[in-house]
Amino acid sequence: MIQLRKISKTFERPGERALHVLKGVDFNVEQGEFVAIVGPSGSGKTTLMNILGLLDRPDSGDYQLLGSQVSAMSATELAKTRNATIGFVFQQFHLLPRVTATENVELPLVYSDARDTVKKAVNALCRVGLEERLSHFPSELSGGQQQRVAIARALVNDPEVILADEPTGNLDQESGQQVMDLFLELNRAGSTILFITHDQKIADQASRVVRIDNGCLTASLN
Amino acid sequence: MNWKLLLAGSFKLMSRYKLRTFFMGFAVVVGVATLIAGRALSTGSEQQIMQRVNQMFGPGTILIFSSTLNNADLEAIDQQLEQVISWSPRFTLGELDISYQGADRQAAVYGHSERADFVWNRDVIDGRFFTNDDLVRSARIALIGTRLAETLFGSTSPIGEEILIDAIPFSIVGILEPVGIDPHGEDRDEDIYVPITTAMRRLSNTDYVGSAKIVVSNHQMVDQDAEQIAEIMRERHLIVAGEADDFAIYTSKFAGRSVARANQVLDVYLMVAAGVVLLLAAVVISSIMLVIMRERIAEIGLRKAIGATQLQISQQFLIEVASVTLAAGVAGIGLGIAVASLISKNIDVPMVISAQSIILGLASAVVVGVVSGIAPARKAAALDPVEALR
Repeated sequence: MIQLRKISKTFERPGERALHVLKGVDFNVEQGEFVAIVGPSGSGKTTLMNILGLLDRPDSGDYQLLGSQVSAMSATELAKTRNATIGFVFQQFHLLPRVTATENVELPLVYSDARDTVKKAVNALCRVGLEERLSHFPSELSGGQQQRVAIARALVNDPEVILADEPTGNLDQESGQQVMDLFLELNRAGSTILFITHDQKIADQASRVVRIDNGCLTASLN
Repeated sequence: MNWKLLLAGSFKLMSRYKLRTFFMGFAVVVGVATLIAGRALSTGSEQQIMQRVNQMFGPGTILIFSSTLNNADLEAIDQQLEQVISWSPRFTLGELDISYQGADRQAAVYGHSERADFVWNRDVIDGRFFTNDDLVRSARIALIGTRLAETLFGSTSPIGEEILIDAIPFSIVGILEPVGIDPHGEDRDEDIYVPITTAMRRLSNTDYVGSAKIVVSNHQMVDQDAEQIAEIMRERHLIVAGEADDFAIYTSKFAGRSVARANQVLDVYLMVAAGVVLLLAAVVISSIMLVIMRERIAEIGLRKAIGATQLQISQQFLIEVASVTLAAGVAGIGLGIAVASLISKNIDVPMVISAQSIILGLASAVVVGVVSGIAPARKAAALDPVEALR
């Protein structure tokens, strides 16, 4: 499903040494996998995630997503692919503040051809167990609930893969575990999920753990 | 792309950020209101002035002024030009002392003929107008304006009463139809009319009438008729080629043209004023949008991550700002009409709201929105999602 070959990314910063964030990373993900990406800060995890999520382009290397060559896609094709095949979950949730849970979840459908958008959004919120919080504003929800709204938003377009960048990083242990339980459940139901974490206990729940160190993929565990 | 959902979302955001929506819209409200109120009153006053010009002139009329104009000149014109329907001289006495039962004041006194009710388009609303007999006898009778009648006699009828004009007793036989204030600011309802023969013989001592109005059959031809009248006048007053005329001639067409020109100047001025306000509005909106954008960087990053293209991001910003300014335009039209009707009542000028000015108001509001939204929208569209989501 996802095939990365020799992916490299370098950040040029004026007045400083160029930063080689990714140095020829090879990485495959199969349909239905539940993969944790771990590694110290600055090791290139987030850059890898941005490339996987089509938010950033590698300097060199080859990326095939669902059989399509990503480097050949135009900006508009990348946007459409993000909308249809990828669901994002962020550490800071990134919910719109003065917009209800349902409206937040509806947001990706604005950029698709979907119909019955409210129904789809409500369904997604039911899947994450927030059927009682449909018209609440983010400020009226706990951190764990906000992250579950964000997961519902990632699910609403039935994506092929969910990419989560430290989804439990801003949550207490209990809410973090609830989010992980939700991911496990979604994965059992067929979703492909990749997530970044610092927390070994969280990473251990994945079916595969990948470690990045200094821009290189060093080990695959589990 | 689901437009309905995007629009609904944008409207919800605007209603939930009321203060910033208000600040963005306020300048447009003021600009459009200026435009609407200004045009309403300028069109209204133009119509009012044209109405008065028509009342004073009537269509197809020619005014002639000369300190050496006499009745013989006018009779010659009447005989030589078959298109002359009627004519009537006017002798202007200026402000004279008026006295009634010891109360003294001043009023503008004019000498008129028995044809002035038609030619000068001013009849009586009570009593009777002059007759040929009054002119032959140089009768000491007078017609007075409604406001003067009210000041001198209050609610009692002035007809049959005697007043002194320059210490000569005149009896009032009629009340002149009210016409209001003329374009020079003189209240024509304070006027007194006396028979022109009386004015020339008893109140003054002259053979010259000073001015006259001539009505011709075809109002399209007044300028040509006026030229023929000028020829007759030159002949009779022995003015040779190259010498300056001792008379002046004005036509109803000429008066209409100068009113139209004066109003055009006013219109241009109003447009410029409204334009400056709307330009300021665009600057204000643009800077508010740029500030808002800074607050909305994460939102833009998120929208890009979930599949918005650059075009869709800039469209969203343009739609948001254009709908705020469109709504502000509607409010501005309401405010403009309210202000215009308030002013209209206070200064006694009618207001005219045309479909044209409403369309102009709405269009300029949308244009201001789009113009001021372009820079922020482009900036938003160009944001790097990776940076924006950090």
